[in-house]
Amino acid sequence: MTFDTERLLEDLRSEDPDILTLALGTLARLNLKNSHKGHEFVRGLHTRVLPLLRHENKDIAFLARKARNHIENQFPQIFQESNPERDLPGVKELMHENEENRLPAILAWIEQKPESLMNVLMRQLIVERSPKVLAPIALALAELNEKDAVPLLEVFLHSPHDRLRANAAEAIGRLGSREQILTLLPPLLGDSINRVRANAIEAVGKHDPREIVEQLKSMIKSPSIPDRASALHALTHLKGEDILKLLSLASNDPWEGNRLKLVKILQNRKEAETIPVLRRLAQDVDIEVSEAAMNALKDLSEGEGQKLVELNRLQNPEEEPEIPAQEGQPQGPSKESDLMDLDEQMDNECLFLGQSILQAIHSGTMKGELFHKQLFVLDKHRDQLEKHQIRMEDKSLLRSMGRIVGAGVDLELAIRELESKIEDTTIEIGYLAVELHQKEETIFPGMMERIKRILKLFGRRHQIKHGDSTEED
Amino acid sequence: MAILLRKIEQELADASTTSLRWHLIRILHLNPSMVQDPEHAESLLSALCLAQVRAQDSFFRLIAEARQELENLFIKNPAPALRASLLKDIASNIEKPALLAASMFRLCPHSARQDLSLARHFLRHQDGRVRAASAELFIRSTPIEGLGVILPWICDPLPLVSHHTAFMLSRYPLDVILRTLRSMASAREPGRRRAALMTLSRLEPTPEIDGLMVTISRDPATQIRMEAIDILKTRNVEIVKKRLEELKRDLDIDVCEKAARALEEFGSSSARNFVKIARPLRLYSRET
Repeated sequence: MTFDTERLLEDLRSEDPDILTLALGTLARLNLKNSHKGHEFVRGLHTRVLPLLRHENKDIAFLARKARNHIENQFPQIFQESNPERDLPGVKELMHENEENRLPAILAWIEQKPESLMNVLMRQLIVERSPKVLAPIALALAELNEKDAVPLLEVFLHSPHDRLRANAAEAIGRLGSREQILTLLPPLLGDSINRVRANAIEAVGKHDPREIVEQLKSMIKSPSIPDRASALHALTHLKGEDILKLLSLASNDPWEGNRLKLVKILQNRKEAETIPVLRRLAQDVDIEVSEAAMNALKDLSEGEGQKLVELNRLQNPEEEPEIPAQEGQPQGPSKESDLMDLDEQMDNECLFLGQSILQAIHSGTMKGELFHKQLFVLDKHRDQLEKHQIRMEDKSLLRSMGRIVGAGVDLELAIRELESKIEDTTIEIGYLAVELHQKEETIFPGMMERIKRILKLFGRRHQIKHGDSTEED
Repeated sequence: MAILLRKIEQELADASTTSLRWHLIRILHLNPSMVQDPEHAESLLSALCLAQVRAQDSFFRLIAEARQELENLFIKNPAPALRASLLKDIASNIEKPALLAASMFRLCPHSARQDLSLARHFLRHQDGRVRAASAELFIRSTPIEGLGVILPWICDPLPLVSHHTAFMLSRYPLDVILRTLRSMASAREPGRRRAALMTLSRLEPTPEIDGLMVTISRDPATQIRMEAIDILKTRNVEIVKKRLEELKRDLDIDVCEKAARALEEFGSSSARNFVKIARPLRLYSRET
């Protein structure tokens, strides 16, 4: 393919931002090595791009930087002696009276990370008072691992500017000692801005998760979508049983964006304990969430670990569950987490059982008398749910606009709650069926295999809980 | 979770050379609303004054900035009792230059017109830190008319003193300084005119400064014209070049020859160690 390089050179001279953007975008991807153009031509292009590095349009300046780097990377022999600081903004830009000019200048330095960056940041910190400009500097200090800067960052925690406070909290979380973090950041756990709170939670949680569990719980239950998203952000790097419970709680988020984010978090954790939550998300009403959860489960199954057997069993519910050999001690990280897993498994099995029973009642192959109480509750919930769904599907302009700005959250929450209640009642039907089979030896045709599995799980649970060495079927 | 000045003072005392800079920058970003114990400001100021004379020269300016910031934020009311005790400290530390300088720095926020003679007395002290402290005390206690006395300290051979003097002069707008220099340039005493020239030579070049130097190069004293040539040749601007051409036709043959040589070297040695009076730009108003 031939490329009109003359035209490109001409376009780079243009004053029209659109033409410049297009030309620079092309140049940033252009394979010049195979173009058989001489070094002179390459130098010419390079020279043409350099003045654009300081173009007043930030996008053009950014593209120019990309194009310049692309050219230099293709011809290192020509640009070997290039000095990384030569194109960076100078004192004039860094000391410009307008913060809108200082901000891109300092960002360019931070992005390039030259050796003298720390000196530049220090000089800027002496004269700089704009929280907008100070905010990226706070994070850059963390990037440079400047632990001595924590006392300064402490001052920024008091700033009325949200971003500066949030970045300072994040930087302290990365640079501070345990003592510094647990002294300086807990007051921010109640900050009115979700981003600040999330950064503080993340930092404090690494050292003392107990401190932040309640806070996170209230954020997850918050009607505000950003609050719930921030809680997820904070949960990303935290570990522990309490955190797992919170992740499970977050899987009920009414907004699919948050649920999708949760799947990614769980996928990155690569922990077998997350399987029950992922499994629930695999049945999500949102197809994207459901697919992502399925993929995460698949990824997990490819990993190794003692929980793998359990995973296989969960993915193939028709197979006989493998009860670990009686070695006296229960396997897994702890008794509590094992119990929690078994409870989750039993709930899942009972949910399927309950659904099968309901289907049988609906098709007339089974009478509903045994479960009349639960059926009554289910009818009531379904009726309410239907009404809510009709309201939710209202396509009127006002409602649509309201939903865009987040006004539909209450309704979504109510729908979620009802769906959850319906699920709970279905599980209850499953448990009741198992109980009826055990006490009155009632037969549920086509469902006996599942009932047996549930009983085995129950026996295993009893054994772990009471430390009994005899298996109870 | 308010910030305690008491804690900052303690951390300053324990700070290593590397962490000291961060503690000082922190003071520059303080705000009265975040401080729980503003009454402790005087004590922190004392600690900073001691740090000013004990820390490395490279910290001198930053500590001065931090002192000034702290003063602006917290030291509002005159404290006569404190002033008396500080004067007593100065008297008892006359033989100990470091402590003397620290006591003088400490007096600065509470300085009064009557401290001028005290400051003037120590302006020629052999210890640079004492000279710097005297210059600051002088600048802070003098009325504008007295600025002419202190301006030549911008030419102190010790950069610490010259830079500190320039920094303290930033309390005045540049045009006030230039007005003083103009009046010095037209003084009857050649010494004052020469001092004006020397002061100008150390200031960061601006068109006004170049213009004033060209004016001084017309001084009736040959010696001053000769010295002016040495300075003019370092300024690579057209107005100066024109003046050097004129000086080639000076009545004094030595001046003519020197101007001719200067034109050959014109603009060759412009990289001088200038001091900048203009205070670093406060880039944004303080958060409230």
